[in-house]
Amino acid sequence: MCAETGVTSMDADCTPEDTEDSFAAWYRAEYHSLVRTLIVVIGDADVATDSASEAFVRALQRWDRVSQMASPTAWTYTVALNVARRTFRRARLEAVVLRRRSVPPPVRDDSLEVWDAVQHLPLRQRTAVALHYLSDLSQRDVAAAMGVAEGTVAATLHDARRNLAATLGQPSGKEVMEHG
Amino acid sequence: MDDLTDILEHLIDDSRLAARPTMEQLKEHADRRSQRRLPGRSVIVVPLVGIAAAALVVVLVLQFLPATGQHPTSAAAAVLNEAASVAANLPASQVPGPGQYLYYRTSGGEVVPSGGAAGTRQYLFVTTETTETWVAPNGSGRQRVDAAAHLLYPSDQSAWEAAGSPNYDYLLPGIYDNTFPIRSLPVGATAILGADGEYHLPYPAGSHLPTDPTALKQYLNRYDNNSGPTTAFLTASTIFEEGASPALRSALFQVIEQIPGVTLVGPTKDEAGRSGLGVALDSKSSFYMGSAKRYIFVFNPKTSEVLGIKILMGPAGSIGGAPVPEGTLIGFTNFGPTAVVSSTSVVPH
Repeated sequence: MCAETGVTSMDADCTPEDTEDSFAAWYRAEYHSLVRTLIVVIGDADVATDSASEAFVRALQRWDRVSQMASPTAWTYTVALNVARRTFRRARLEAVVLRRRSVPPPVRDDSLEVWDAVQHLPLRQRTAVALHYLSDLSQRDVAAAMGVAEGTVAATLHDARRNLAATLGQPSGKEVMEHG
Repeated sequence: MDDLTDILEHLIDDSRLAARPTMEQLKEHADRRSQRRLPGRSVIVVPLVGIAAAALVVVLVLQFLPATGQHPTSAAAAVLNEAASVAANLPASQVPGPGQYLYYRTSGGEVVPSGGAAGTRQYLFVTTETTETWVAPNGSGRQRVDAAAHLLYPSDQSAWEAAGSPNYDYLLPGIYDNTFPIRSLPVGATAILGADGEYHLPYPAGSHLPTDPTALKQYLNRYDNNSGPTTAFLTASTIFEEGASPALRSALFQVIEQIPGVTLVGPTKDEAGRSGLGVALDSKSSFYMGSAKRYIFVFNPKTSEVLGIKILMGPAGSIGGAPVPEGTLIGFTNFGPTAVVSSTSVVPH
Protein backbone atom coordinates (compact mmCIF):
# COMPACT_ATOMS: atom_id res chain seq x y z
CA MET A 1 0.00 0.00 0.00
CA CYS A 2 1.03 3.61 -0.33
CA ALA A 3 2.37 4.31 3.12
CA GLU A 4 1.80 8.03 2.83
CA THR A 5 -1.79 7.81 1.68
CA GLY A 6 -2.98 4.49 2.93
CA VAL A 7 -4.06 3.56 -0.58
CA THR A 8 -3.23 0.17 -1.99
CA SER A 9 -0.76 0.50 -4.82
CA MET A 10 -2.98 -1.56 -7.10
CA ASP A 11 -5.69 1.05 -6.62
CA ALA A 12 -6.12 3.67 -9.26
CA ASP A 13 -5.96 6.33 -6.57
CA CYS A 14 -2.37 5.42 -5.79
CA THR A 15 -0.25 7.42 -8.19
CA PRO A 16 3.36 6.67 -9.15
CA GLU A 17 4.32 9.64 -7.03
CA ASP A 18 2.56 8.10 -4.04
CA THR A 19 4.42 4.86 -4.63
CA GLU A 20 7.75 6.64 -4.90
CA ASP A 21 7.10 8.72 -1.80
CA SER A 22 6.10 5.61 0.07
CA PHE A 23 9.28 3.83 -0.93
CA ALA A 24 11.53 6.81 -0.27
CA ALA A 25 10.22 7.25 3.26
CA TRP A 26 10.64 3.58 4.04
CA TYR A 27 14.07 3.49 2.42
CA ARG A 28 15.33 6.44 4.42
CA ALA A 29 14.03 4.89 7.62
CA GLU A 30 15.45 1.44 7.04
CA TYR A 31 18.70 1.83 5.12
CA HIS A 32 21.20 2.39 7.90
CA SER A 33 19.58 -0.16 10.13
CA LEU A 34 19.98 -2.77 7.43
CA VAL A 35 23.60 -1.82 6.78
CA ARG A 36 24.49 -1.92 10.47
CA THR A 37 22.80 -5.26 10.88
CA LEU A 38 24.55 -6.75 7.87
CA ILE A 39 27.91 -5.52 9.10
CA VAL A 40 27.35 -7.33 12.38
CA VAL A 41 26.24 -10.49 10.59
CA ILE A 42 28.81 -10.48 7.80
CA GLY A 43 31.68 -8.66 9.45
CA ASP A 44 32.48 -6.74 6.30
CA ALA A 45 31.27 -3.20 5.69
CA ASP A 46 31.88 -3.28 1.94
CA VAL A 47 29.86 -6.39 1.29
CA ALA A 48 27.21 -5.25 3.75
CA THR A 49 26.81 -1.93 1.99
CA ASP A 50 26.72 -3.48 -1.46
CA SER A 51 24.23 -6.11 -0.36
CA ALA A 52 21.97 -3.57 1.30
CA SER A 53 21.95 -1.37 -1.78
CA GLU A 54 21.17 -4.33 -3.99
CA ALA A 55 18.32 -5.39 -1.73
CA PHE A 56 16.79 -1.91 -1.80
CA VAL A 57 17.08 -1.73 -5.59
CA ARG A 58 15.15 -4.96 -5.84
CA ALA A 59 12.60 -3.67 -3.36
CA LEU A 60 12.19 -0.48 -5.39
CA GLN A 61 11.67 -2.44 -8.59
CA ARG A 62 8.97 -4.50 -6.95
CA TRP A 63 7.61 -1.98 -4.49
CA ASP A 64 4.02 -2.41 -5.57
CA ARG A 65 4.24 -5.96 -4.27
CA VAL A 66 6.82 -5.63 -1.55
CA SER A 67 4.96 -2.76 0.09
CA GLN A 68 1.95 -5.00 0.54
CA MET A 69 3.86 -7.66 2.40
CA ALA A 70 3.32 -8.15 6.09
CA SER A 71 6.90 -7.05 6.64
CA PRO A 72 8.70 -5.43 3.72
CA THR A 73 11.66 -4.95 6.01
CA ALA A 74 11.94 -8.65 6.79
CA TRP A 75 11.78 -9.46 3.08
CA THR A 76 14.53 -6.95 2.37
CA TYR A 77 16.73 -8.48 5.06
CA THR A 78 16.27 -11.88 3.50
CA VAL A 79 17.18 -10.52 0.10
CA ALA A 80 20.24 -8.75 1.48
CA LEU A 81 21.45 -11.86 3.30
CA ASN A 82 21.00 -13.87 0.12
CA VAL A 83 22.86 -11.28 -1.88
CA ALA A 84 25.71 -11.28 0.62
CA ARG A 85 25.84 -15.02 0.58
CA ARG A 86 26.03 -15.12 -3.17
CA THR A 87 28.55 -12.33 -3.25
CA PHE A 88 30.95 -14.48 -1.32
CA ARG A 89 30.27 -17.31 -3.67
CA ARG A 90 30.75 -15.53 -6.91
CA ALA A 91 34.19 -15.68 -8.33
CA ARG A 92 33.26 -12.88 -10.68
CA LEU A 93 33.12 -10.61 -7.68
CA GLU A 94 36.51 -11.67 -6.53
CA ALA A 95 37.59 -8.08 -6.18
CA VAL A 96 35.03 -7.65 -3.46
CA VAL A 97 36.02 -10.90 -1.84
CA LEU A 98 39.65 -9.98 -1.84
CA ARG A 99 38.82 -6.72 -0.13
CA ARG A 100 37.20 -8.66 2.62
CA ARG A 101 38.70 -7.98 6.05
CA SER A 102 41.26 -5.66 4.50
CA VAL A 103 39.36 -2.68 5.86
CA PRO A 104 38.77 -2.50 9.60
CA PRO A 105 35.10 -2.79 10.52
CA PRO A 106 33.46 0.54 11.40
CA VAL A 107 33.26 -0.29 15.09
CA ARG A 108 33.46 2.30 17.86
CA ASP A 109 36.68 2.11 19.81
CA ASP A 110 34.88 1.47 23.09
CA SER A 111 32.92 -1.41 21.59
CA LEU A 112 35.67 -3.65 20.28
CA GLU A 113 35.16 -6.18 23.05
CA VAL A 114 31.48 -6.43 22.19
CA TRP A 115 32.32 -6.67 18.49
CA ASP A 116 34.66 -9.56 19.13
CA ALA A 117 32.11 -11.30 21.31
CA VAL A 118 29.40 -10.95 18.68
CA GLN A 119 31.70 -12.05 15.87
CA HIS A 120 32.59 -15.19 17.80
CA LEU A 121 28.96 -16.21 18.03
CA PRO A 122 27.98 -18.97 15.63
CA LEU A 123 26.59 -17.48 12.45
CA ARG A 124 22.99 -18.40 13.15
CA GLN A 125 23.12 -16.86 16.62
CA ARG A 126 24.84 -13.75 15.28
CA THR A 127 22.24 -13.37 12.56
CA ALA A 128 19.34 -13.81 14.95
CA VAL A 129 20.80 -11.36 17.46
CA ALA A 130 21.45 -8.71 14.83
CA LEU A 131 18.03 -9.04 13.23
CA HIS A 132 16.15 -9.07 16.52
CA TYR A 133 18.05 -6.63 18.71
CA LEU A 134 19.63 -4.32 16.19
CA SER A 135 16.96 -4.28 13.49
CA ASP A 136 14.13 -4.70 15.94
CA LEU A 137 12.47 -7.41 13.89
CA SER A 138 9.98 -9.57 15.73
CA GLN A 139 10.90 -13.20 16.29
CA ARG A 140 8.36 -14.09 13.64
CA ASP A 141 10.02 -11.78 11.11
CA VAL A 142 13.46 -13.03 12.10
CA ALA A 143 12.24 -16.56 11.46
CA ALA A 144 10.97 -15.52 8.05
CA ALA A 145 14.18 -13.71 7.18
CA MET A 146 16.37 -16.64 8.25
CA GLY A 147 14.15 -19.34 6.83
CA VAL A 148 13.75 -21.14 10.13
CA ALA A 149 10.91 -21.90 12.51
CA GLU A 150 9.91 -19.25 15.05
CA GLY A 151 10.70 -21.62 17.87
CA THR A 152 14.19 -22.02 16.48
CA VAL A 153 14.67 -18.27 16.65
CA ALA A 154 13.66 -18.17 20.30
CA ALA A 155 16.06 -20.96 21.16
CA THR A 156 18.81 -19.39 19.10
CA LEU A 157 18.39 -16.03 20.77
CA HIS A 158 18.46 -17.71 24.15
CA ASP A 159 21.73 -19.45 23.31
CA ALA A 160 23.20 -16.26 21.91
CA ARG A 161 22.33 -14.24 25.01
CA ARG A 162 23.84 -16.92 27.19
CA ASN A 163 27.04 -16.95 25.13
CA LEU A 164 27.31 -13.18 25.13
CA ALA A 165 26.75 -13.03 28.85
CA ALA A 166 29.45 -15.62 29.40
CA THR A 167 31.87 -13.76 27.16
CA LEU A 168 31.17 -10.25 28.31
CA GLY A 169 30.87 -11.11 31.93
CA GLN A 170 28.42 -11.13 34.81
CA PRO A 171 26.47 -9.71 36.50
CA SER A 172 25.18 -8.44 33.21
CA GLY A 173 24.08 -11.89 32.19
CA LYS A 174 20.85 -11.87 34.13
CA GLU A 175 19.61 -8.75 32.45
CA VAL A 176 20.70 -9.96 29.09
CA MET A 177 19.03 -13.29 29.63
CA GLU A 178 15.75 -11.61 30.42
CA HIS A 179 15.71 -9.40 27.39
CA GLY A 180 13.35 -10.14 24.52
CA MET B 1 25.60 -5.25 30.93
CA ASP B 2 23.17 -2.75 29.51
CA ASP B 3 20.27 -3.71 27.39
CA LEU B 4 21.50 -5.71 24.42
CA THR B 5 19.74 -3.46 21.93
CA ASP B 6 21.53 -0.42 23.33
CA ILE B 7 24.85 -2.21 23.23
CA LEU B 8 24.43 -3.28 19.62
CA GLU B 9 23.16 0.09 18.51
CA HIS B 10 26.31 1.64 19.94
CA LEU B 11 28.53 -0.89 18.18
CA ILE B 12 28.78 0.60 14.69
CA ASP B 13 30.28 4.01 14.10
CA ASP B 14 27.86 5.48 11.58
CA SER B 15 30.27 8.27 10.70
CA ARG B 16 32.50 5.65 9.09
CA LEU B 17 29.77 4.20 6.91
CA ALA B 18 29.43 5.04 3.26
CA ALA B 19 26.71 7.54 2.46
CA ARG B 20 23.28 6.15 1.72
CA PRO B 21 22.72 6.03 -2.06
CA THR B 22 20.37 8.76 -3.18
CA MET B 23 16.96 7.90 -4.50
CA GLU B 24 18.16 8.99 -7.92
CA GLN B 25 21.04 6.52 -7.79
CA LEU B 26 18.74 3.78 -6.65
CA LYS B 27 16.21 4.52 -9.38
CA GLU B 28 18.89 4.65 -12.06
CA HIS B 29 20.09 1.23 -10.99
CA ALA B 30 16.55 -0.12 -10.86
CA ASP B 31 15.68 1.33 -14.26
CA ARG B 32 18.63 -0.41 -15.85
CA ARG B 33 17.38 -3.66 -14.42
CA SER B 34 13.80 -3.04 -15.44
CA GLN B 35 14.77 -2.92 -19.07
CA ARG B 36 15.56 -6.60 -18.84
CA ARG B 37 12.29 -7.62 -17.24
CA LEU B 38 9.39 -9.24 -18.93
CA PRO B 39 6.86 -6.52 -19.67
CA GLY B 40 3.58 -6.54 -17.88
CA ARG B 41 3.82 -9.77 -15.99
CA SER B 42 2.21 -10.10 -12.63
CA VAL B 43 3.75 -11.63 -9.56
CA ILE B 44 2.95 -13.12 -6.22
CA VAL B 45 5.27 -13.53 -3.30
CA VAL B 46 6.66 -16.75 -1.91
CA PRO B 47 9.68 -17.64 0.18
CA LEU B 48 12.34 -19.56 -1.68
CA VAL B 49 15.54 -20.80 -0.14
CA GLY B 50 18.42 -22.98 -1.08
CA ILE B 51 18.66 -22.00 -4.68
CA ALA B 52 22.33 -21.38 -5.11
CA ALA B 53 23.29 -24.91 -5.96
CA ALA B 54 20.47 -25.36 -8.39
CA ALA B 55 21.48 -22.21 -10.18
CA LEU B 56 24.44 -24.06 -11.53
CA VAL B 57 22.09 -25.96 -13.75
CA VAL B 58 20.81 -22.91 -15.42
CA VAL B 59 24.25 -21.72 -16.28
CA LEU B 60 24.25 -24.63 -18.61
CA VAL B 61 20.96 -23.71 -20.18
CA LEU B 62 21.97 -20.10 -20.56
CA GLN B 63 25.12 -21.21 -22.23
CA PHE B 64 22.97 -23.32 -24.46
CA LEU B 65 21.04 -20.43 -25.87
CA PRO B 66 23.35 -18.22 -27.88
CA ALA B 67 21.95 -16.56 -30.98
CA THR B 68 24.58 -17.69 -33.42
CA GLY B 69 27.26 -20.30 -33.82
CA GLN B 70 27.84 -23.92 -34.67
CA HIS B 71 25.10 -26.43 -34.20
CA PRO B 72 25.74 -29.45 -31.99
CA THR B 73 27.78 -32.21 -33.45
CA SER B 74 25.74 -34.95 -35.03
CA ALA B 75 26.87 -37.29 -32.28
CA ALA B 76 25.54 -35.00 -29.55
CA ALA B 77 22.37 -34.33 -31.50
CA ALA B 78 21.82 -38.04 -31.95
CA VAL B 79 21.89 -38.89 -28.26
CA LEU B 80 19.81 -35.87 -27.34
CA ASN B 81 17.28 -36.78 -29.98
CA GLU B 82 17.21 -40.34 -28.69
CA ALA B 83 16.50 -39.10 -25.18
CA ALA B 84 13.79 -36.79 -26.49
CA SER B 85 12.12 -39.65 -28.31
CA VAL B 86 12.24 -41.89 -25.26
CA ALA B 87 10.74 -39.17 -23.06
CA ALA B 88 8.00 -38.41 -25.57
CA ASN B 89 6.83 -42.00 -25.41
CA LEU B 90 6.74 -42.28 -21.63
CA PRO B 91 3.44 -42.14 -19.75
CA ALA B 92 2.64 -38.93 -17.90
CA SER B 93 4.29 -38.70 -14.51
CA GLN B 94 2.33 -38.84 -11.27
CA VAL B 95 1.20 -35.51 -9.86
CA PRO B 96 0.14 -34.83 -6.27
CA GLY B 97 -3.55 -34.77 -5.48
CA PRO B 98 -5.32 -33.18 -2.52
CA GLY B 99 -3.43 -33.86 0.70
CA GLN B 100 -0.34 -34.97 -1.19
CA TYR B 101 3.00 -33.38 -1.94
CA LEU B 102 5.50 -33.54 -4.72
CA TYR B 103 8.88 -34.27 -3.18
CA TYR B 104 12.10 -33.51 -5.00
CA ARG B 105 15.71 -33.34 -3.97
CA THR B 106 18.84 -31.83 -5.45
CA SER B 107 22.36 -31.75 -4.16
CA GLY B 108 25.04 -29.49 -5.43
CA GLY B 109 28.40 -28.00 -4.76
CA GLU B 110 30.50 -25.08 -5.76
CA VAL B 111 34.11 -24.05 -5.25
CA VAL B 112 34.45 -20.67 -3.56
CA PRO B 113 37.39 -18.70 -2.21
CA SER B 114 37.99 -18.28 1.48
CA GLY B 115 38.32 -14.53 1.29
CA GLY B 116 40.78 -12.74 3.54
CA ALA B 117 42.83 -9.61 3.32
CA ALA B 118 44.55 -8.73 0.09
CA GLY B 119 47.91 -10.44 -0.12
CA THR B 120 47.00 -13.25 2.23
CA ARG B 121 46.73 -16.81 1.08
CA GLN B 122 43.45 -17.82 -0.47
CA TYR B 123 42.01 -21.19 0.39
CA LEU B 124 39.42 -22.79 -1.80
CA PHE B 125 36.35 -24.29 -0.21
CA VAL B 126 33.68 -26.55 -1.58
CA THR B 127 30.25 -25.49 -0.40
CA THR B 128 27.59 -28.12 -0.72
CA GLU B 129 23.85 -27.92 -0.40
CA THR B 130 21.23 -30.62 -0.34
CA THR B 131 17.79 -29.20 -0.89
CA GLU B 132 14.62 -31.14 -0.24
CA THR B 133 11.28 -29.70 -1.22
CA TRP B 134 7.74 -30.83 -0.56
CA VAL B 135 5.09 -28.94 -2.52
CA ALA B 136 1.34 -29.41 -2.41
CA PRO B 137 -0.90 -28.72 -5.41
CA ASN B 138 -1.80 -25.38 -3.86
CA GLY B 139 1.87 -24.42 -3.72
CA SER B 140 2.27 -24.70 0.06
CA GLY B 141 4.91 -26.92 1.52
CA ARG B 142 8.29 -27.22 3.12
CA GLN B 143 11.89 -26.78 2.05
CA ARG B 144 14.90 -28.03 3.93
CA VAL B 145 18.43 -27.01 2.97
CA ASP B 146 21.46 -28.67 4.48
CA ALA B 147 24.53 -26.62 3.64
CA ALA B 148 28.13 -27.45 4.45
CA ALA B 149 31.62 -26.35 3.50
CA HIS B 150 35.00 -28.07 3.39
CA LEU B 151 38.41 -27.40 1.91
CA LEU B 152 38.76 -28.27 -1.77
CA TYR B 153 42.28 -29.60 -1.32
CA PRO B 154 42.80 -31.86 1.71
CA SER B 155 46.45 -30.90 1.57
CA ASP B 156 45.44 -27.39 2.62
CA GLN B 157 44.14 -28.63 5.96
CA SER B 158 47.37 -28.33 7.89
CA ALA B 159 48.12 -24.87 6.50
CA TRP B 160 44.60 -23.76 7.30
CA GLU B 161 44.95 -24.97 10.87
CA ALA B 162 48.37 -23.38 11.17
CA ALA B 163 46.76 -20.09 10.19
CA GLY B 164 44.44 -20.41 13.15
CA SER B 165 41.58 -22.09 11.28
CA PRO B 166 39.98 -18.80 10.26
CA ASN B 167 36.25 -18.79 10.53
CA TYR B 168 34.44 -19.56 7.27
CA ASP B 169 30.88 -19.45 8.53
CA TYR B 170 30.13 -16.58 6.17
CA LEU B 171 29.65 -19.40 3.68
CA LEU B 172 26.53 -20.10 5.73
CA PRO B 173 26.80 -23.77 6.54
CA GLY B 174 23.86 -25.10 8.50
CA ILE B 175 20.37 -26.43 8.16
CA TYR B 176 17.60 -24.16 6.98
CA ASP B 177 14.16 -25.66 7.38
CA ASN B 178 11.16 -23.62 6.40
CA THR B 179 7.52 -24.04 5.55
CA PHE B 180 5.85 -21.87 3.01
CA PRO B 181 2.23 -20.93 2.54
CA ILE B 182 -0.21 -21.47 -0.27
CA ARG B 183 1.07 -19.91 -3.43
CA SER B 184 -1.58 -20.56 -5.98
CA LEU B 185 -1.39 -18.09 -8.78
CA PRO B 186 -4.01 -15.48 -9.43
CA VAL B 187 -5.41 -15.42 -12.94
CA GLY B 188 -2.90 -14.02 -15.36
CA ALA B 189 0.09 -14.31 -13.06
CA THR B 190 3.15 -15.75 -14.72
CA ALA B 191 5.90 -15.29 -12.16
CA ILE B 192 6.50 -15.15 -8.43
CA LEU B 193 8.66 -12.86 -6.37
CA GLY B 194 10.96 -14.91 -4.20
CA ALA B 195 12.59 -14.10 -0.91
CA ASP B 196 15.83 -13.75 -2.82
CA GLY B 197 14.39 -10.72 -4.56
CA GLU B 198 14.22 -12.39 -7.93
CA TYR B 199 11.36 -13.57 -10.08
CA HIS B 200 10.75 -17.26 -10.48
CA LEU B 201 8.39 -19.50 -12.26
CA PRO B 202 5.39 -20.52 -10.19
CA TYR B 203 4.88 -24.00 -8.97
CA PRO B 204 4.35 -26.29 -10.69
CA ALA B 205 6.67 -24.94 -13.32
CA GLY B 206 6.05 -27.82 -15.64
CA SER B 207 2.38 -27.07 -16.07
CA HIS B 208 3.12 -23.53 -17.15
CA LEU B 209 5.79 -24.30 -19.71
CA PRO B 210 5.18 -25.16 -23.33
CA THR B 211 6.09 -28.66 -24.39
CA ASP B 212 6.58 -27.67 -27.99
CA PRO B 213 10.37 -27.31 -28.43
CA THR B 214 10.14 -24.12 -30.47
CA ALA B 215 7.78 -22.49 -28.02
CA LEU B 216 9.88 -23.64 -25.07
CA LYS B 217 13.02 -22.21 -26.61
CA GLN B 218 11.27 -18.91 -27.18
CA TYR B 219 9.99 -18.94 -23.63
CA LEU B 220 13.44 -19.53 -22.15
CA ASN B 221 15.03 -16.98 -24.44
CA ARG B 222 12.43 -14.47 -23.39
CA TYR B 223 13.47 -14.95 -19.77
CA ASP B 224 17.11 -14.73 -20.70
CA ASN B 225 16.77 -11.63 -22.79
CA ASN B 226 14.33 -9.74 -20.69
CA SER B 227 14.66 -10.87 -17.13
CA GLY B 228 18.35 -11.18 -16.43
CA PRO B 229 20.46 -14.22 -15.90
CA THR B 230 19.43 -15.05 -12.37
CA THR B 231 15.79 -15.40 -13.28
CA ALA B 232 16.73 -17.57 -16.22
CA PHE B 233 18.96 -19.64 -13.96
CA LEU B 234 16.10 -20.31 -11.63
CA THR B 235 13.63 -20.91 -14.39
CA ALA B 236 15.58 -23.78 -15.83
CA SER B 237 16.69 -25.19 -12.50
CA THR B 238 13.07 -25.36 -11.43
CA ILE B 239 12.22 -27.35 -14.51
CA PHE B 240 14.81 -29.98 -13.69
CA GLU B 241 14.40 -29.93 -9.93
CA GLU B 242 10.77 -30.81 -10.02
CA GLY B 243 11.37 -33.79 -12.21
CA ALA B 244 9.93 -32.30 -15.38
CA SER B 245 7.17 -34.27 -17.02
CA PRO B 246 8.21 -36.59 -19.86
CA ALA B 247 6.68 -34.24 -22.42
CA LEU B 248 8.58 -31.29 -21.02
CA ARG B 249 11.80 -33.29 -20.79
CA SER B 250 11.38 -34.26 -24.42
CA ALA B 251 11.00 -30.65 -25.43
CA LEU B 252 13.98 -29.64 -23.31
CA PHE B 253 16.21 -32.24 -24.92
CA GLN B 254 15.17 -30.90 -28.30
CA VAL B 255 15.93 -27.36 -27.24
CA ILE B 256 19.39 -28.42 -26.16
CA GLU B 257 19.79 -30.32 -29.40
CA GLN B 258 19.38 -27.07 -31.32
CA ILE B 259 21.92 -25.15 -29.30
CA PRO B 260 25.14 -24.31 -31.08
CA GLY B 261 28.42 -25.60 -29.70
CA VAL B 262 27.21 -28.68 -27.88
CA THR B 263 29.50 -31.68 -28.20
CA LEU B 264 29.25 -35.27 -27.10
CA VAL B 265 31.42 -36.21 -24.14
CA GLY B 266 30.37 -39.84 -24.16
CA PRO B 267 29.95 -42.14 -21.19
CA THR B 268 30.45 -40.35 -17.90
CA LYS B 269 29.10 -40.26 -14.37
CA ASP B 270 27.43 -37.56 -12.36
CA GLU B 271 28.84 -36.60 -8.96
CA ALA B 272 26.57 -39.12 -7.30
CA GLY B 273 28.34 -41.84 -9.29
CA ARG B 274 25.47 -42.60 -11.63
CA SER B 275 26.41 -43.56 -15.18
CA GLY B 276 25.07 -41.77 -18.19
CA LEU B 277 26.09 -39.92 -21.28
CA GLY B 278 27.40 -36.40 -21.23
CA VAL B 279 27.09 -33.52 -23.64
CA ALA B 280 29.24 -30.49 -23.04
CA LEU B 281 29.49 -26.85 -23.84
CA ASP B 282 32.62 -24.79 -23.34
CA SER B 283 32.33 -21.19 -22.25
CA LYS B 284 34.94 -18.54 -22.80
CA SER B 285 36.40 -16.38 -20.09
CA SER B 286 34.41 -13.22 -19.47
CA PHE B 287 33.92 -10.70 -16.71
CA TYR B 288 30.43 -11.89 -16.04
CA MET B 289 30.99 -15.62 -16.24
CA GLY B 290 34.53 -15.56 -14.87
CA SER B 291 37.09 -18.07 -16.08
CA ALA B 292 36.44 -20.34 -19.03
CA LYS B 293 34.50 -23.41 -18.00
CA ARG B 294 33.18 -26.65 -19.39
CA TYR B 295 29.58 -27.51 -18.56
CA ILE B 296 28.68 -31.17 -18.81
CA PHE B 297 25.07 -32.26 -18.82
CA VAL B 298 24.70 -35.89 -17.76
CA PHE B 299 21.63 -37.90 -18.65
CA ASN B 300 20.51 -41.38 -19.54
CA PRO B 301 19.35 -41.44 -23.17
CA LYS B 302 17.77 -44.87 -22.70
CA THR B 303 15.40 -43.61 -19.99
CA SER B 304 15.57 -39.82 -20.59
CA GLU B 305 16.42 -39.41 -16.90
CA VAL B 306 18.39 -36.25 -16.19
CA LEU B 307 21.16 -37.09 -13.73
CA GLY B 308 23.18 -33.99 -13.13
CA ILE B 309 25.43 -31.19 -14.17
CA LYS B 310 29.18 -30.93 -13.76
CA ILE B 311 31.21 -27.77 -14.22
CA LEU B 312 34.91 -28.10 -14.90
CA MET B 313 37.46 -25.31 -14.86
CA GLY B 314 38.73 -24.27 -18.26
CA PRO B 315 42.28 -23.30 -19.20
CA ALA B 316 44.13 -20.71 -17.10
CA GLY B 317 41.29 -20.45 -14.62
CA SER B 318 41.18 -19.02 -11.13
CA ILE B 319 38.72 -18.54 -8.34
CA GLY B 320 39.10 -15.68 -5.91
CA GLY B 321 42.57 -15.08 -7.27
CA ALA B 322 43.68 -18.64 -6.55
CA PRO B 323 44.69 -20.58 -9.67
CA VAL B 324 42.68 -23.71 -10.35
CA PRO B 325 44.00 -26.40 -12.68
CA GLU B 326 42.11 -27.02 -15.90
CA GLY B 327 39.65 -29.85 -15.55
CA THR B 328 39.07 -29.36 -11.82
CA LEU B 329 35.47 -29.94 -10.82
CA ILE B 330 34.28 -26.55 -9.58
CA GLY B 331 30.56 -27.09 -9.43
CA PHE B 332 27.91 -29.72 -9.74
CA THR B 333 24.26 -30.45 -9.26
CA ASN B 334 22.80 -33.89 -8.89
CA PHE B 335 19.12 -34.38 -9.46
CA GLY B 336 17.66 -36.62 -6.82
CA PRO B 337 14.47 -38.57 -6.69
CA THR B 338 11.04 -37.10 -7.12
CA ALA B 339 7.97 -38.76 -5.68
CA VAL B 340 4.45 -38.06 -4.56
CA VAL B 341 4.21 -38.35 -0.77
CA SER B 342 1.51 -37.98 1.83
CA SER B 343 3.14 -35.42 4.12
CA THR B 344 6.05 -33.02 4.42
CA SER B 345 7.78 -35.40 6.81
CA VAL B 346 7.96 -38.29 4.36
CA VAL B 347 11.31 -38.76 2.66
CA PRO B 348 11.20 -41.33 -0.15
CA HIS B 349 14.19 -43.57 -0.67
